Amino acid sequence: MKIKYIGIFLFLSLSIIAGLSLGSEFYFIPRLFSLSPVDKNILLNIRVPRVIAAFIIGAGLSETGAVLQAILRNPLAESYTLGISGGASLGIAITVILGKTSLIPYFAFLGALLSLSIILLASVKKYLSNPTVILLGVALNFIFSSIVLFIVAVAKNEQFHTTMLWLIGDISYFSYGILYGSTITISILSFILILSGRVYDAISIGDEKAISIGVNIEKEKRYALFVCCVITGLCVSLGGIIGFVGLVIPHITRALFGSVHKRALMINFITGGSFLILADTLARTIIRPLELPVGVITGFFGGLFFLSILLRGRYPEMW
Amino acid sequence: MLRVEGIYFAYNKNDVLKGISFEVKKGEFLGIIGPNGSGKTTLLKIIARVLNPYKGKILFEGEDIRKIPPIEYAKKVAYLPSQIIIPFSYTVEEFVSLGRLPYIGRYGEIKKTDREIIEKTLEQFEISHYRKKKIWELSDGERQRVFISQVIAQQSSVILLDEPTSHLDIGHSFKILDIIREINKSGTTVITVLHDLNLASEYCSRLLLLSQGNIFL
Repeated sequence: MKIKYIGIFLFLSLSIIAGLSLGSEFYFIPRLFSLSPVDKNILLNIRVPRVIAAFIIGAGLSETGAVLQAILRNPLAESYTLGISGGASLGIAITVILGKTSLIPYFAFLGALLSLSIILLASVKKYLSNPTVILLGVALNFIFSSIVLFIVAVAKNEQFHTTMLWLIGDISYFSYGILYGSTITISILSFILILSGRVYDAISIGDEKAISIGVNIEKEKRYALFVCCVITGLCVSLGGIIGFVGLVIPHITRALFGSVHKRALMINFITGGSFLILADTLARTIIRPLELPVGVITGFFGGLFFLSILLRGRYPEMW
Repeated sequence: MLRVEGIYFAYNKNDVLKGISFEVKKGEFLGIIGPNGSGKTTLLKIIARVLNPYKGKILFEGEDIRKIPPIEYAKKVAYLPSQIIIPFSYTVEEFVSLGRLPYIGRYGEIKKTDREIIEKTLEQFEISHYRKKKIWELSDGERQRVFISQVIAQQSSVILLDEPTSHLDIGHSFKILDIIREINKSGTTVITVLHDLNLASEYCSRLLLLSQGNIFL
């Protein structure tokens, strides 16, 4: 067990080093000692904020993924597959059109809340099975991204390219103004989720069982979903819709460290963050000096993972 | 100890329970029997506070159970649903430990007394040797023992069991009911829904026959 924890720490350190030193410019040890002012500027004002952004988005999405999987008892749930990220992107598109970019995080949250409410209402009214809820999320994602594209097309926004990137997921256009606030907020909210880990253990074994061991499930679920909406809204405000991080990371963490949520959520925060730093580093290194949106990388690996879950057919008994 | 007073419950306006009243004394081993759809499971769920009756109330030692905070009620009454589906791979020990949640709380750490209780329960159900095993790797009989041991680890004064022996062969059924009888003898009140009339008459100290939403016995 100890070795695994050291592994996590190494993984985090490696990804931070890779995130800082790789990209359109390479910075390795000898070069670090003879930095020109331009290099310093790149490192401190571009690379560092970007690594922080990638970490916090990855961490936030993994935490929400893990918690959503537990409280909806659905191993395929996460902000992306449920369409929550899509809702958040709609909220953002509206603020861009209104020209009120300072309101982005709030509208992203409202958009996230909108799609989550649709999903919850539908699943309560129709008793949807787990895969059906995911299909609903896919449908919502399609609808929201179409509306976003429509808004952009109608508004003749010159930043069409940027908005496209937002729908794929890209960590290069975030505004520095919201980075640090978001980082602190996501960290605090994730910490709150981690502390409540035991409650998510209880809810994950079924509502009836959770009630009988003294959990106020209605209150706990509402509270957790609200927190997930805030985190997703902030993550989407920073990096657009980055898919599958919240799906893949929690499952890998559970496979390695067990399913108890207090521990799993704590480790998720680090693995999710490290993973996205690496994915983002890869995205801006493989077709150097051009950059790929990170969503292309996470989408590719996440999609393969998703496929492997479905094809293994042991769903929901995965790990 | 537990008094059910004129409980009415309906699914989609069809009354399933029509004014059920009975009393359970401390230390009883009460079996609820009856045909399918007679409301046995519903009745158990209402006592477990999973469902709300639209009329009537349940008193625990004279107090309306709706007025008892969830955590406190969990220390008084534990419940085993007829089916538990677990989406994640908890180990046996982790799963049984969840039964201590009412005592540990959301933020607390598992204390020495909790560990001792978990340990004792695991031994009592002869599952301590595979405590680190994942629940999915177990057979039906073993799994059911794990589920019941979680309820026992909760150390409530009443336990509600819904078909604790379904999916089990006769050997395992006897084994599980033997342990439950032992727990009952040490002072825990047991209310169980049983399908098998032979087992019910063999183990229960009193039977309640439910049919068409009414009590017949």
